[in-house]
Amino acid sequence: MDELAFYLNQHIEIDEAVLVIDNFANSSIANNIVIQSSIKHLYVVCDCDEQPPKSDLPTFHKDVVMWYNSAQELPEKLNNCKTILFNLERHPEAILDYLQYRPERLLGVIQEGALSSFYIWEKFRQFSSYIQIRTNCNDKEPKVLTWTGSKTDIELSVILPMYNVAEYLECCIQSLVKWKANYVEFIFVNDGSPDNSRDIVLKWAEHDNRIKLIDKENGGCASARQAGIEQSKGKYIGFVDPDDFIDPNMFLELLRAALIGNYEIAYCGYNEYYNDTGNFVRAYDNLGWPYDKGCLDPRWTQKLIYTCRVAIWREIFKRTLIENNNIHFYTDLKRFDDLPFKVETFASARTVIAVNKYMYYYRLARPGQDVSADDERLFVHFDIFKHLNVSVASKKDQRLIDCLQLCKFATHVYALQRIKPNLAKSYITQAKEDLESTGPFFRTYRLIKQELGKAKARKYVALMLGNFVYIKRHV
Amino acid sequence: MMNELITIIVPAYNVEKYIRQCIDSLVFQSLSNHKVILVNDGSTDNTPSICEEYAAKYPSLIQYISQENRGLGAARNVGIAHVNTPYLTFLDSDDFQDIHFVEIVTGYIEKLDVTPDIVFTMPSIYDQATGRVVEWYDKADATSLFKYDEEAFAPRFVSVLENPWVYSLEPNANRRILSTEFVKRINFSFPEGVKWEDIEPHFYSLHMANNLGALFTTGFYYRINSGSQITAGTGVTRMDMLSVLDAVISRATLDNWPDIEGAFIVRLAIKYLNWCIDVINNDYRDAFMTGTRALIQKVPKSYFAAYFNTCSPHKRTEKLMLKIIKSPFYKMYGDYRFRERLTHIINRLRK
Repeated sequence: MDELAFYLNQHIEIDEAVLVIDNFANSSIANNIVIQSSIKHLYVVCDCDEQPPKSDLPTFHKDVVMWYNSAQELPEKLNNCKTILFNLERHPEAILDYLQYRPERLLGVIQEGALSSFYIWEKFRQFSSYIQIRTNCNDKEPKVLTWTGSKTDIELSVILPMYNVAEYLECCIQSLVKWKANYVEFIFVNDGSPDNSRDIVLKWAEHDNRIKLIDKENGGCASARQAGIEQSKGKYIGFVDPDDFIDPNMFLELLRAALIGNYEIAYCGYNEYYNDTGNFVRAYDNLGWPYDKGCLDPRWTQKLIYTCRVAIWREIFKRTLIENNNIHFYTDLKRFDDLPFKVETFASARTVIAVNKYMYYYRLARPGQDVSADDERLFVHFDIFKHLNVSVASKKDQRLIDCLQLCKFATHVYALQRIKPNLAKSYITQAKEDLESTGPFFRTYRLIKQELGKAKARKYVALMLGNFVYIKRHV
Repeated sequence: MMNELITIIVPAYNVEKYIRQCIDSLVFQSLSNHKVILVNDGSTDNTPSICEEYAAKYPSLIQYISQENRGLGAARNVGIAHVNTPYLTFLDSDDFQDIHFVEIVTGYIEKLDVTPDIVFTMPSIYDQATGRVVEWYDKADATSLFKYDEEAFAPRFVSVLENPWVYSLEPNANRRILSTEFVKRINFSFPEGVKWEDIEPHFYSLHMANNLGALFTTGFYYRINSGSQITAGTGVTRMDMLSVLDAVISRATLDNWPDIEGAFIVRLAIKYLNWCIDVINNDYRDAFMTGTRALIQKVPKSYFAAYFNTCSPHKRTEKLMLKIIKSPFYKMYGDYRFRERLTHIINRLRK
């Protein structure tokens, strides 16, 4: 039984279908379909060079299965038939010839190759309400793209929180709109910005109806992103900071990776762009095995909490992941609100896929950024971890708690390495307390030593002894 | 005189999302030679009204019974009491049946001269997270056990006396068809008020059966990763595993089961205990380890000896596991990092 038979078995109202194959060796597929479902009429079209005589074809179900050599032989049946099935290993592009028949349901199997099931889905989604395409791969498990919806559905919402970004907005929007898909929306949330960001957005919105503007009172980045989520309709949600820019293919690649196999999170890598010098620096990240082939094990997904940089704008999240787990941005946090969001989403996700490309450009060295904070602003980490202690540690999953502990440690070391010396003592005291709340000393020491190495383990000892000088010295 | 061959018992608790699909798959079977008993186990959502709707629409096919919430085992037992067809089977209300099931089962049974006590079917697993349909967990083992040859219609009956490896099949109740006469003869019933209620009947019924058949061309669809499963629980439901395994071991020792059958009880116990220890959450881990220790100490030494001689998949690791659990340091075994270090050390020793 495969996914195709599974669907037909569920939907007994389907009693006729067209099956397109490109290889007579697969003719047994026709008989399997009839045996496993309640289809009474199956019209098989096999358009290939070698055609055996009709008498040689398997005739288990003579009146049920009818054989044709090309689509021209059965135009009325194709026009009336609402279900098209296919099994195309050599020439998957052949299915595109059937777009003209506007099937309501499209189910099939292809071999991994130049044409992806995503491409087929994009073309057929204007007509179909159910699409299921399995991609057989040589080097990994097969993946299934399953989609239910209509052509007016929004598949992806991109949320951009705006505050004083007018200088960089044109560059950002230009890179976003180059991808011409009609099933995305770009939601710009004006967080009470005093500059003319909203006028720029409205100007672009005149030519592109995917661009939407929300005005709200200033409440901080977290509240802007949260407002964006609440107003969005997409099945996947992405975030972009409007002072950055992207490779125009980024969301196409992320959505494709996520849809083929139904992953809850899809992510790629990012580059740092230094605004003052114009230099690009690739931010190398954990995009390889096992994530690039698609990871189905929540225990491996959890590890990304501490093995992958915090950067939610190179990720897209399935809406159901966020809603079913009540994940939201903590609006009391003035900055770094993406850290708890990242931890909570990866803690709750089961399936994740990495696209091994660096497609987001993170602008740095521009005046006024939080990322260069070296003072009291860093103390927001403790508020963040107070929230995470409740949401993550309350799941009582020791593996997850250990991931959180490693994340906390890495965050506090990062903060101590850049914080102003007069604040270091106060920070390290709180950091000690924070780490003690999620794990005893010896266990954490062994954890850090095994996962992050001996040098980091020594830093942990230094931290617990209150020795911030050691941490600052050994970067 | 009932003409129908098989009754499908469907216990339902708060499954308004899936129950229609489940009952539809039973109503629209390709051959109508069956009965359905829906048991509403004190649902608080729309499940009862949906069940009543179907029972009113198909009165000769569906019987509807309602009770206050007593659990899966009790619901199935109530269903058994109302069966008057020669065979019965079960279906969980969030799964659904292959539409050719009754037709294929009828075709199989009517050609047999000896009535099988139990017939094993072959379900498929639908993973809602990935959209894939994959093979049932023990498909390879089951196929080789019954040497099922689809070409020749010659079902090979097996019994545990002949091959105790039958015990290693999945205990799942929904993939078995039971002969009603056999069920009544041996007083087959599910334990009530506990989770993992199919483990004890699995051992008892296989021990008492003479003829086990196999029918691998059909089986239900088992939905996983929908977010509502019992097997996903990490808390107090896991503790029931201890009392269930205790009941199995007690019966085996009281009734003097041969050591080779005890070996397979140990095999399942170790596998499931490891599984529970792996997923149980921080609140219950220590209590579970204490319970495991008590349980291990109840198992006769001859069962362990037979287990390590015949069907232990990882002798060294498991012997070490048992030593640790019997020692005062048993709680350490509950820590996943300790277990990982253990496997690491053992693999290094192997080289």
